[in-house]
Amino acid sequence: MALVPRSTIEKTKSSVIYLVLFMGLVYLVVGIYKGGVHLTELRAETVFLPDLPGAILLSFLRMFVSYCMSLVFAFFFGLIAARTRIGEKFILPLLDILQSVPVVGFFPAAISFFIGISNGHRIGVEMAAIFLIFTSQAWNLAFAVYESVRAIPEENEEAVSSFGLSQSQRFMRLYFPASIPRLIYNSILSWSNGWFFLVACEIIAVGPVKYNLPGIGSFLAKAAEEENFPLVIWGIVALATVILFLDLFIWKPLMVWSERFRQESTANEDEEDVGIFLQIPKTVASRLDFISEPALRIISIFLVPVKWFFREIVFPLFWDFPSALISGVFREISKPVEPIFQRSQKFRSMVGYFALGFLVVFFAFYAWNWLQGPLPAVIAEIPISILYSTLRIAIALAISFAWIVPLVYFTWNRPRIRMILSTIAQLGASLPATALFPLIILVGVKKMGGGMDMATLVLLTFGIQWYVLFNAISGAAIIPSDLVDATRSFGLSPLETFRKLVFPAIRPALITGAITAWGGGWNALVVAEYITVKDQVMKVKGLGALLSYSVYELGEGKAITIIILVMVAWILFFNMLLWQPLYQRNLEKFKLL
Amino acid sequence: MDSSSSEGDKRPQQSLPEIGISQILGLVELLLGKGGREDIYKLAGELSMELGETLTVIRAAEMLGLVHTPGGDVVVEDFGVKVIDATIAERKDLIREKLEQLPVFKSVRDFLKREEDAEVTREEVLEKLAELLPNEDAETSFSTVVSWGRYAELFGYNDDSQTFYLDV
Amino acid sequence: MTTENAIIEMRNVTKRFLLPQGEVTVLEDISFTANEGEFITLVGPSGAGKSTLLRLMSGLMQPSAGEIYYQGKSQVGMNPECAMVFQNFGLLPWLTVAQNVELGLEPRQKDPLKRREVVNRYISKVGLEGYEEAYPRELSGGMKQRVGLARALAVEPSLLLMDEPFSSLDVLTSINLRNELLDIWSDRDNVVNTMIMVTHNIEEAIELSDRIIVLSNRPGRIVGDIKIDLPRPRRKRDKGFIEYVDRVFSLLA
Repeated sequence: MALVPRSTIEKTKSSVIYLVLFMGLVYLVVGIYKGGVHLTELRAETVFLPDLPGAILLSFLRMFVSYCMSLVFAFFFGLIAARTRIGEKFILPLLDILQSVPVVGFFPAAISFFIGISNGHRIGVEMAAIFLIFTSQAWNLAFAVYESVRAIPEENEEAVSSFGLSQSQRFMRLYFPASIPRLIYNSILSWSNGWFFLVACEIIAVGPVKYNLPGIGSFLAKAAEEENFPLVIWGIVALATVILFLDLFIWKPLMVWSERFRQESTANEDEEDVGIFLQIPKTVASRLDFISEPALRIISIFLVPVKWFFREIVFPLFWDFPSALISGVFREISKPVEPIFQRSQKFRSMVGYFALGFLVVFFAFYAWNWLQGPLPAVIAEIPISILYSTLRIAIALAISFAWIVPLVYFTWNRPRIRMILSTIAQLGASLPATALFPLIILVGVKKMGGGMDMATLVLLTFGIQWYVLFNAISGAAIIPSDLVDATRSFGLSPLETFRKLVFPAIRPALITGAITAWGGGWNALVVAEYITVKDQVMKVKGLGALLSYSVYELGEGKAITIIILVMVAWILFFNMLLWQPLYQRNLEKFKLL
Repeated sequence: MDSSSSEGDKRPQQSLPEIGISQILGLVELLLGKGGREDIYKLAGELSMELGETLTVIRAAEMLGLVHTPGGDVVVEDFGVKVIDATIAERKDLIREKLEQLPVFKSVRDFLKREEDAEVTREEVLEKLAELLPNEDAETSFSTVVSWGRYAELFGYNDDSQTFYLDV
Repeated sequence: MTTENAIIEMRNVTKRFLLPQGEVTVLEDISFTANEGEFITLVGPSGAGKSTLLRLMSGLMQPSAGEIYYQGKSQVGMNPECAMVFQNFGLLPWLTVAQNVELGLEPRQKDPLKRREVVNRYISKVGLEGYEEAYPRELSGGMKQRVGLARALAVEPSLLLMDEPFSSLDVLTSINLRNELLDIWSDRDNVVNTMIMVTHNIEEAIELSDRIIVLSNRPGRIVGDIKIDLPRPRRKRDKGFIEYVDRVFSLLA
């Protein structure tokens, strides 16, 4: 018996031909592009207003390419994690860790790798920037696919299996549609993350060399360096417009459309799960009907080549063929040992553990070797830096709480105001805080003479307060009205009511907000603690600055790795020891529904 | 005994219970298994359904001329026997003939015929239903109209575009 | 052992699952033969492994020991000759009725026009004309299970497997659907005339099937194989019917 069924081989052949043609096309396009701009040209000295539309467009394209790659990544790894036992054991924890690694940590490796393979052409820097945006988008989407696929009722999966659908048919009929609602929801988060880092990624500095990729991020940075206040404002307004436009014309119609892909029984449960981040009232959605129809039509046209690409190239080559080959090889080699395998699942899991043990030993050995030799001097600064950075996030959280809790006090029983507030929060959150950074530096540090410490704190607060606000509002929104009536009947004063009812009710939501802010805060920190203005480095003491310093000035791989490891460990340590127990306790104690 | 064609017209404000065709046919089949007649209260007890729910199914079956309810009993009509004995395809034809006599279905179908090629939207039919059955929840009536109408192939409905069309 | 018209034969089939608390034997030493044209029901207490047995026959699961022969040949992997009907219908919410019915045909019939033809034939067979463009969420339970049935019939299997197909329907709907299933089964131009159904409802089993296989509780073993010799339609109040109910009950107790 052949290793791989004939039909699979036939399909693989045609896919290889498609792939070759496709690669040729890509090569051609890249070739033309390469001829155009060389790296040395990427050091624009000044920016002007007419550069703005082009800058926005280029930034958007960067985001779009990165998003498409993130989708491919998400489906591939999300499916493996959801559908294989090994995948679930390895990919999930890996994604969890990757999610908490600050993007900047990938800078040196990405830049040297991509610039290396592109022979010093601009495309390398572009690829590095896109890769960095990718790292802020992909994990979140992979989780969306994983969770959606896991939520598919077993009978649907069995129905599809029992009819013998191929992997690509399975994907098109089952996994892809099932993932759509969550994927779209998480895409909105991914795009906000992406904008946040895009602005930081467009100025890439390695040691003494600095590359400016034309885009909105570098536009803002340049304008700020030149202290051109109106230009900074123009840039921020343009970016806000684009983000608002995408939100109204792409994401909202898509969210409404995606409703039909929900499993009937899970309709409500999902909504609760994801919180109210960017969730829109149904009435607004229905008023957007006139927009959503044409928008969806355009999107569906875009989807055709994507689907074709998956059906004709990705699946036959990267899924059907390998899986057929693996199972074919497995069938052949297992023939002599089949009885053992067939009868004992224990034996099979023993083989698994053995392989795992081998990998662990291998990596431990490798890591030990790598750590030999003198440690970089910056390591000594880690403890004090962690302390500073943690304090900074704590202060930013405290500031957020200080204005949000009173706000909830005044608005919790005024639904109209709450709605307006939540809309404002959505707008505020969708504008990346990094875009405001040049403005903060310009006004806060240069004009008003505030210190860099102050600027860092302001940016950090801007970056994380929305998490707290969203959760606080959503927490207040679900207080049952009979509880409110009951409190009122006891004749409690407004302040009393807040203390006895509202605050305990929103406490779990506030803690959720704090957890999210804690995670997001570290990412923001790396950007906020260290900035270069006109070749002059402005930094504060902190782990983020230490990381940036190691990346940009030292280029010391060992130091970078150790700092990132420490940071990740610190984040996870806090999650496990402080936030999770706190959340659990509050949930049990103050559960309302 | 015999359900005449004019019966539906005499009661134009008959409401539409939210009951599936399968349930109605199941009731008639159950009754036939018991010799075609059963006490309503006994039936409700046996089905382990609430009395109100049982009555709704009976009312729906009565509306389609499948059973009638003399005193406290449910009795299968000749038409009911005919429907159950028919093949699956013939059943649909028989039910369609009955539905065409019910004012609600008649008016929706006339509406569709008048519009020729133009599609009739969900809103238009909802309005029509509110007019015909002012005391009923229009959404409930709507889902029954769609479900029965589809079964009998009186008209089709597309939930994506939320429009009705005539089956060819 | 294999008779001429045997469709599927189980030989000493055992199924074990590896659970966190250790290995659990769900089915032990199951042997029986289903012949062409038979309507067999599998009954037993919940946890007797009825559904597992059905999944072994379909190839969704592989036996831990023993062998399964399909039309005389040893069965490995998915069995393309059988189709399955599920308790909760197993319909894809984003596909219309017609698309759901078409699902199983996609790997078998490449020509979309021919596929549509088959789809329409089976949609009308189960009485779903008029619902082609409807989505599952718009349908009542009875109509949903008709879609499940049409989808299974459309692949024209030689064996139809049904996993408690009526248990998530209300009483009246299930009466109606049982009758229609019998109509379809006795329909002469039907391809599939062999059916195996799992149920926990003994009356349902006696009403529908030629043969009842009774399974014991954990591990599931065959404790009875009863031929039902009653003319159809069968009435629950008939004397013969009640005798069979008693017999099956006594085996389960």
